[in-house]
Amino acid sequence: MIINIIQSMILIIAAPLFSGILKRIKAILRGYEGAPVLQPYFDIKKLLSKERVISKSSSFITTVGPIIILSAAILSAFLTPVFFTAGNELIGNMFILIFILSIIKFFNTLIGLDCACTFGGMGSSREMFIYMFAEPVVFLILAFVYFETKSFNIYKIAKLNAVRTDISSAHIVAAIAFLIWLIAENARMPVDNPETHLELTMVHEAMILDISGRDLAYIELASAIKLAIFLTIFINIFLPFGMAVSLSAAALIKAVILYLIKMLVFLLIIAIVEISIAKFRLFRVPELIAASFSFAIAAISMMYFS
Amino acid sequence: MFLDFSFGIMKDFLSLFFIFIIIFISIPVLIYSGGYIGEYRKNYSVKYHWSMLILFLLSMIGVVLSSNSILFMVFWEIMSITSFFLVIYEYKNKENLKSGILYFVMTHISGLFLMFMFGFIYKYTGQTNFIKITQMYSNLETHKGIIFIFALLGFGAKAGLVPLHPWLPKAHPSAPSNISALMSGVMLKVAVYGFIRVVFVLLGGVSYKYGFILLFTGTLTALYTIINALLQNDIKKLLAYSSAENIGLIFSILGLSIILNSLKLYESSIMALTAGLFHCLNHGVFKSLLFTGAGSVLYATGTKNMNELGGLHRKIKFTSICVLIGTAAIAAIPPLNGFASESLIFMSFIKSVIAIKSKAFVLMIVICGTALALVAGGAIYSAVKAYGITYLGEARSKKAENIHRIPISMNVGMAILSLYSIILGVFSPFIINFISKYTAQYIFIKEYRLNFIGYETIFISIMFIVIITLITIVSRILDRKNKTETYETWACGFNNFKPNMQYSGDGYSQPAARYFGFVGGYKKEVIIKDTITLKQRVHDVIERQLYNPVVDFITFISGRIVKIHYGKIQIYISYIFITLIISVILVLKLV
Repeated sequence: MIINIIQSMILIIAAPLFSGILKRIKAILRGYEGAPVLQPYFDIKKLLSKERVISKSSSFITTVGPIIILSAAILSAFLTPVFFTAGNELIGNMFILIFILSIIKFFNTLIGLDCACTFGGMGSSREMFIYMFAEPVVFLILAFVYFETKSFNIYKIAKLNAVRTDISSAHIVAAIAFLIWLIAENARMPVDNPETHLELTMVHEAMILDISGRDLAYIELASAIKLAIFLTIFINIFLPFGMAVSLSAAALIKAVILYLIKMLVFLLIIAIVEISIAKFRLFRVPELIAASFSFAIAAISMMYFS
Repeated sequence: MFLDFSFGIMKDFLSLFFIFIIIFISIPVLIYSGGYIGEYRKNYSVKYHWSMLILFLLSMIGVVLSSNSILFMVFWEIMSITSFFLVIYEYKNKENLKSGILYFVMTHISGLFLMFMFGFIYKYTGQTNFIKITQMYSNLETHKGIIFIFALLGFGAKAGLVPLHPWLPKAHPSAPSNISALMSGVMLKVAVYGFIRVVFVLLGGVSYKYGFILLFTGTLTALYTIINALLQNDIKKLLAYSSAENIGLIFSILGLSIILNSLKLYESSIMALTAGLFHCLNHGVFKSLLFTGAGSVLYATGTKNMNELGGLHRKIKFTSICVLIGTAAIAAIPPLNGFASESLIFMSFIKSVIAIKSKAFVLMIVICGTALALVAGGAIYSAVKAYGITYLGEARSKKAENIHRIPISMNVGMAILSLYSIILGVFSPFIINFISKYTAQYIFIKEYRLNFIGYETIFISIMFIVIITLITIVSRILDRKNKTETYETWACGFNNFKPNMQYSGDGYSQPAARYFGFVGGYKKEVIIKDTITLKQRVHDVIERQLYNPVVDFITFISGRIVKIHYGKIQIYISYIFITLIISVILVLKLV
């Protein structure tokens, strides 16, 4: 119980660091120095101490939205195992976890429409469009995980997969499907470019264009936490080897180190994907998600029909 | 031969559950109606409305309580006719009469099939009493197919399964909003009740083949209607299509339950039926809430076209908060009730697959589950569209600026419904366990208790509230240090902001229209003359392809037949005379 709270706290605190590392890796791969890895913390601190400018047109959504978004992100962090799992937790239903993460999306899209800005509506509409296509992939991935482990509880899934020695090919194919979904869900390239503020291309940034001050800090922090949670879920479902299942110091240290290594590897993969692919047109995004969908279907077929 | 006309009432769990739904939802809607009807005082009779409304509610309770197929049909017809009169309540608008008549015809098609169905049941068992029929359903063994098909058509037409749905998007916008709320929230559930009563109880379960028919029909309904819902700009039309979508979801989970039941996988089957029943309750609550919300918008502004609305959060803040809760519920946001039943539905889809041996079955169920996941995505899309365009941003026309004040009773009704939505979501594990226990006991006649999400949702709701409170406190502290300022929206350096620069309802769903437009008959027309005009139109493809030819044909035939009516009494007498001679000849020949 206490270790679960501690590991979730660590995840929340370290989340901006992972975003910073991702940005740094991208910078190094592109051949320039880049901002320090702690830059996201500085940004959040700067935003928290700035004044807040609210649009005249905005409603209570803009007032409560950022708070709810950050709360949802933090809440979902408390439902995710990071490097330790006992497997008998009462919480951790995958459906609840995924649906809580969708609160972030729901309020983001409403914030987009709230300030009567054209770009907000544009981003909101695009976000929903992508989300609608991603939903079947989520269903298939959850179905695959359930078929493999007979459980919806992420702590249990992590424990079962941590001690598993034979990794089937279906497992790997499903992992690829999850990775593509992760990229689409977290507004990374090639679905959305998190670096630009060019009106015609942005999705996630467009929705929060009129948000400033502490509201923006909350939303930025929430997106960082969301990315970290998605990567953690991915690691703990598909590659949980080395996870601590008992409370011994040696196991915990090994688990933390392995978790960090896995995290860095996947941040590197995302960075390589981001610098080597141009952003897709919005209407080509369904093709990407269709690829993810096909991988997921293939994984289930390999499991069931072989 | 005399019918057994015992006026007993059904007192089993199924009836009581649906009575609960009817009463539970109609109380807040009746409170809401108190204020809403005031609007009609000038032009229409309020007494007439109330008497029809009460009769409508009583007839629905009658349908659910009747233990006899004759009584069932009598109440069913009263329900259909009173609801018809309520749909055409604003009879001075010709469009309403037209859609009311479509509803009248559809509801009678439904009644006709149901009469056939009960006729067949009577033919094979010799019974009209439901309890006696269940005792001798072995007689029905070889005739289950035909009865199932009639039940599907009869109850499906009332509930709005594709292709029998076109009355929904017509009747709901025509009816007063409190009536739409009751029709969508409660009356459709009465049709679901009838279906469960006949297929699960009277027939005692049917073969998996029929389960697949139901699963596919439900999935198709959900897919077709959610895309149509997405493309609508009329709030009530959007909600009407979304009702049909939820009915599709309920019927497909019932289909899954039938399949599992016939494969003797009772646990999964009970879970699926529980999910269906729970979704009936939840959909009733949040759809009534959304329809009453649409009614408040109509009351306040006089329009239900979302392209003329916007910025309503300023003038009717309380309504917009209630509708936000309803929108979050329909978008399956935890811990609200829509989430509770929708996740249960998806879990039963996934869980059932594990138990089934046949690979073809697994494939079909997975495909339907995936399609329903797409539908869930579409439901969120359309819910956000309906809420965001209507309530947020700036007013798009004068109508949305000059707002009538909303009576307190309307707000009270909506507040109660939003409260239901939260309670049913947070305490969903108790409710699910309760429903599953009695479903197992009375419908499957087995002892089984579903213990599933545990009590996680309650725990998580508490945690969520705690975290929100903490962050709010932090925000308060931060706000004390930093000031908050209000400015114009940043329009990318363009200072001359106009409300029509916002995204419109059409624009919001345009990406989806590009992909799925063909399902909703989407047409875009750009006219470039002095100014650029963009016209976007949608229509119901099934209605146009399937119904209009039939209507045209009947109009054509009646046009021909009408020619023999000359209005002269001599001609009519000669018709009678000729008919008499022909009948006499026939009688003499044949008897």
